Amino acid sequence: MRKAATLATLAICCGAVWGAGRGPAATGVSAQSAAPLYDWTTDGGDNQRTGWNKLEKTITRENVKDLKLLWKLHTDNPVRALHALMPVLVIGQLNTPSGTKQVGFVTGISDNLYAFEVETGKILWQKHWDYPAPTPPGGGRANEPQDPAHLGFLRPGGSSDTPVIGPADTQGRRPIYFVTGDGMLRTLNAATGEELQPPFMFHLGKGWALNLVGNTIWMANTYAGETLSAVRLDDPSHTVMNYNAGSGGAWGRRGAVIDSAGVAWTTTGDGIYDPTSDPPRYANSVIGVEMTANKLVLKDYYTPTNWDWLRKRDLDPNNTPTIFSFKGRELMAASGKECRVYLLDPKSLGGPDHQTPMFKTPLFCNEEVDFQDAGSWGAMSTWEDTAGTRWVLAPFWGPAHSQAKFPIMNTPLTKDGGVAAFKVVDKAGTFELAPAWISRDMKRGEPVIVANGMVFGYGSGEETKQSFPDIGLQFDSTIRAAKGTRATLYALDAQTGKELWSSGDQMHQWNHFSGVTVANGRIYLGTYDGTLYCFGLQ
Amino acid sequence: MTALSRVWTGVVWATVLSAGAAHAQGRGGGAWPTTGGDAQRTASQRTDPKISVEAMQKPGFQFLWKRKFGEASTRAQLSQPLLLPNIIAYKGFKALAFVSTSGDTVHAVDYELNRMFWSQRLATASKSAGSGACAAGAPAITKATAVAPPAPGARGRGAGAGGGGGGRGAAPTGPVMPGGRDAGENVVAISSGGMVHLMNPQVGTDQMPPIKFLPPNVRVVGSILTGNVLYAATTGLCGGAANGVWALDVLGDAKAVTTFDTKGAGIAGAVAPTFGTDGTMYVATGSGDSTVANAVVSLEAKTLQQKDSFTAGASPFVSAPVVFQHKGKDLVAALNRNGRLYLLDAASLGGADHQTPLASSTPFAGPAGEVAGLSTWLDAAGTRWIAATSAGALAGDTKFAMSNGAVTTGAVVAFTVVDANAAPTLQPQWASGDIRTPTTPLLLNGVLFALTGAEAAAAGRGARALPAVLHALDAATGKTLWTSGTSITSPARGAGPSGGDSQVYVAAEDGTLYAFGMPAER
Repeated sequence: MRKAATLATLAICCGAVWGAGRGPAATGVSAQSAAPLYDWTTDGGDNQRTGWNKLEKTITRENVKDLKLLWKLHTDNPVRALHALMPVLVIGQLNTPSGTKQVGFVTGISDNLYAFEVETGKILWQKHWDYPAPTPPGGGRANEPQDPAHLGFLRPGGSSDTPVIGPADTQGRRPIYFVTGDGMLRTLNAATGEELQPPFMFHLGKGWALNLVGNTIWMANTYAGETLSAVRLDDPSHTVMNYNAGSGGAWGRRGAVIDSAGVAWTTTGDGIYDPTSDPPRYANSVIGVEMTANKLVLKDYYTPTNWDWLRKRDLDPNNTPTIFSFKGRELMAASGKECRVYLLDPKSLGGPDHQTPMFKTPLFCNEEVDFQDAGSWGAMSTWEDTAGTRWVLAPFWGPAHSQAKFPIMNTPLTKDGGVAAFKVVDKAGTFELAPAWISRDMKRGEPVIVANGMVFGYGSGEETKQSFPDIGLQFDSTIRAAKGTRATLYALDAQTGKELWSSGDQMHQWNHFSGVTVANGRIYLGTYDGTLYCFGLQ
Repeated sequence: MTALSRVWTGVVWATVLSAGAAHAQGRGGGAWPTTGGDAQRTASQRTDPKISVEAMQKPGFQFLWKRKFGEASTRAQLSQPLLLPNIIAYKGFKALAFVSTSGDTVHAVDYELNRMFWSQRLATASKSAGSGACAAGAPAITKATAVAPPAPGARGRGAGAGGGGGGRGAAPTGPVMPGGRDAGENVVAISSGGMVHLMNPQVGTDQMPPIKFLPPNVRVVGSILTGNVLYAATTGLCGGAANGVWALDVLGDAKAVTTFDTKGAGIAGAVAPTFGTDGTMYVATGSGDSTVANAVVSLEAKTLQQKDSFTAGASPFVSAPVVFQHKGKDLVAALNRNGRLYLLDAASLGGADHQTPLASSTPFAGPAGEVAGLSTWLDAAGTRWIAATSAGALAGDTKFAMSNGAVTTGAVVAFTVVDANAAPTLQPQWASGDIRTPTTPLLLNGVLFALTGAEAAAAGRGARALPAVLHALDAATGKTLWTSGTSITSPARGAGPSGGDSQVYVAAEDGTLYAFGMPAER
């Protein structure tokens, strides 16, 4: 261990590559192997939200079976509604007052940010923010329960975003950007937690993971009165640019996804599609905006032709799309609760009528037509194998569709959720998604990370039902919380979906809208009780 | 996620931003909570997002699906389907049709997907069976129904709007059950054993122990739940029970039943009772020796004490009353066996002598009809219409402004209510083409759906019953826009089609439920 740390220190001179938008960047050497240490600075790993960790070499298909629980960190973060801890970010080598360390960062919904030593799970520093209860766009929050655990699960308040870590400044300090529940954008020194500059108002609402592109931070929101927001960090006036889709908030957990032209994309949730209304409304769609003269302007959009059905049954495309290249073309894959995957061309997302995707799969789950216990939620992922095959991965809840024809159906067959894998194929010049495999059953399959030929996913164990036969629709989050089970991590063979490892019953609680992180040989996931679990090779 | 969409603030936004467009854009407008569609039994939905006269003149409207209830080889009487266009159930957003079948069973079907959602047999079915006219039919079912009619276009639930999420439903209007168990959305069924079941709309189970309400084996013409009070009308002197109206506070401690006894006079029409917008109740009666026979009677809803009555002499009424507002006043319309349509002032049904209507038509209806139906609506121009059914040939006394062909076995006719000398009059507007013994017509956004009855009235009940045909008419002219042809393979009787959310439902005698509408991409 000591030797490895020395190697890491030496390795830092190799040059810290800013990984906020370009995938993980090597900065040192893993303590668990001789693999170079790298950063994981943004949710989904890059601006394209691929979820593809290209640098992970420590965990292999051969040793993954040996993963063990290394430590548990009990944070003091109180829940708000169902939310607790967000996905972990990592800096492989960070100069701190106590030396150079690999440091992880995790935020809690109650405006908490924790920096921890990944070797020990000990907190390096932590920050908490208090502020007067804000009045969100659209109205006040009268009759809000005193105990935030009872809050309605749709609007937890607090800090629902995953932060983003920027490159080192001129003094070598790594900024971590985080929006607290009062809408203020905070810029902290990752090494110490001190604020590097005064906070400023970014946006109130239920914000999702921040995406840092150059000097611009993007945020997708719901219950915000705006769908996408952006601010330039080099703008001294901190002018916030907004775009409102008119109907349907953004729900993709990895936030906005950015294409090579700088267009920010998001899915939009439940609501009305009417491009002729004033203002136009683009719910149940995928929309893209670009920055023009310091304003966000709609660039393009795609709306499924059955959008009205999606609205009726609340089956909106609700996860973060992913963007990738295939045969020299930039493509996008999006999905949602209806449970089909759309393959889209960012240069003409839905064709001239905005309703024609490049390709859409048949339904692969949600035969029940259920918005709460089924469908694809969270975020898509994508990766390319050494043979050049491009894969697209969609997590899902509930059983696979009875008519879904995948060459490999792993067992136990999905009942409560899983992961569906597709290959992008070229059929005489037409790009399609070919079903490849469906994972084993997972209790509510969540967005995955792909690393070193493996898919790391998890079943959240969450009770996702919002309405119950005996009590009807109830928003009090404690009702659902009491019915949650446990989260379970899985490592799957990325080619076949075969289970290689699972955490079994080592995690004692479930989680809601969190996310798994894989970095430098460790796997991180938080649970409802504020516990952060770290698995790795001993 | 959500889901999206919705927190009470979101509801507020949705309400503000989508005001006036709820039906066109809401998540499932077009509820049909009780037989006849509302407490006034108007059998009409003023708006619909897809069905219109213009749309019906183009291809699109068609047979969508059918579902047989009961054993394939048996006949199961079906109730008129009730429609709940949007419930957030434990399996997601559902659009449900509730029907009951003989055999004391209640069913819920997802009407957009033709998928069974639940089916429950009432545990309090009578152990003895009635016979003949008192044979057990489909149990009466209803949902909570507001006494005051909804504002135009307001039946739907709020749609999403704004940068946040959409609305997640208006507050329910039914009795507040302990624990908030889907108040307002429960299905209320009366078993052949006379017991009331408040059924969970998500699964069909009893929300509370069944309550004693009626004697076993009575013939229930109709029921309605307003507030906490369930009303039912009985006829045929079945099960040894009086004909009349019964009331029960389902959440009251006493569980006391209040009754209005017609002293033998039957309850007219295919549904009862009817409510005025002020909560006054109305029933029409058939022949008999009592003082309330051959009458339209108003009752005080809480006590069921008679308030007023109108009689047209010794001739029985054959339709249930319908009530509508006209210049701020409730008016009551009912059809008499004498072939006349009567228009009454709710404030004084028959004047001082109880025999003076506000207006009446000349005879138009054929004399053979035993049960007739009315529907009423306000058109886009604000004109009040009343459609009435007629069995057999039309009487020649009434000259309709528009005719749509010879009538031999039955027709639907339409009147407008027009003020003349400050008093409302009935103006005959059109008569449809020949439609055999039609059941109560359904009005959807300017389109009148009329369903042929089982047999021509002149042929008598013993004649071979013929398959039903659904006709869509231009409600302004009576012109045929579309017919179902041979889609329906069984006869139909009863309360007529129900409809909403761009679909029309026909309950056929063989226990098959048919759905017609505009196909939608799903």
